[in-house]
Amino acid sequence: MVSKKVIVILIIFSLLLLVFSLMINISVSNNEINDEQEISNGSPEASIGLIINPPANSGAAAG
Amino acid sequence: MVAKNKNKQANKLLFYFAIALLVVSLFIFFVNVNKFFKITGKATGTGTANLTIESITNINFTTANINWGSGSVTAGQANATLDTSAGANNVTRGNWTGNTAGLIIENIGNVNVTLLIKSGVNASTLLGGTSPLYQFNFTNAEVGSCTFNVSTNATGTFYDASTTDRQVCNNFDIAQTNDTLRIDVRLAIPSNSKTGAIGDIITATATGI
Repeated sequence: MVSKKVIVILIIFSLLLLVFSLMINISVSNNEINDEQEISNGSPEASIGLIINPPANSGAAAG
Repeated sequence: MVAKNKNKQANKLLFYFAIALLVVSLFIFFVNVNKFFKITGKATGTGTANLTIESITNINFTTANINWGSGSVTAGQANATLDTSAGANNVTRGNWTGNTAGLIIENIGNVNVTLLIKSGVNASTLLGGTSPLYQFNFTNAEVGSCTFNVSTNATGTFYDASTTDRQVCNNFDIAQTNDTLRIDVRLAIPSNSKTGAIGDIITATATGI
């Protein structure tokens, strides 16, 4: 029968492999996010705005 | 004897568990490695790698809004001036909220472009009244960003806003430190102008060179 030592080594190796896979996965996900950012479009439009009130004396003149 | 058998059985189960874990780990590992190489590309032996870099024409207003808020022409004055290039005196003969930031546009594509600017309305449509002004002035926010079209732009000169495209830059650069243009806006609001909320949209058009 396989010794406990071998089983422990197998489990540790498997867990390390899982961690390494996770790291690769994170790296791939980051690349995909960066790709999306690179092709995002800018805005070619700007706006100006203000509110114009009548001059202060115009109401008095009217009254 | 019974304890030894139990121990053996536990060992056997643990072994199967370890093998199953290993198989799952290897599967996940190979799936991720495959994904990784699909993105980064991989070449073996001798060969030629061909790729095409697409030209992307893309501009962006990084400062895209001027809001002077609410105000009126000072009593007894013919007009008020709002001028984003005028520093501390950017609002005269009126009490609107000042703006010295102007508008900032950046070339965020990967090709040099020509740059055209137009407004949605002109001065009389925007403001009404007697002798209104609605004008733009274009300057490099970063040195050498825009090679100005001298027939439609002179440094320090304000031009009337136009609803037809005005070519401002013959060459709007992409270099990271030389790709930003500033647009200052000047309004002269007559005392007999329209009242209420007014606004306009300024549109930039870029064409790859």
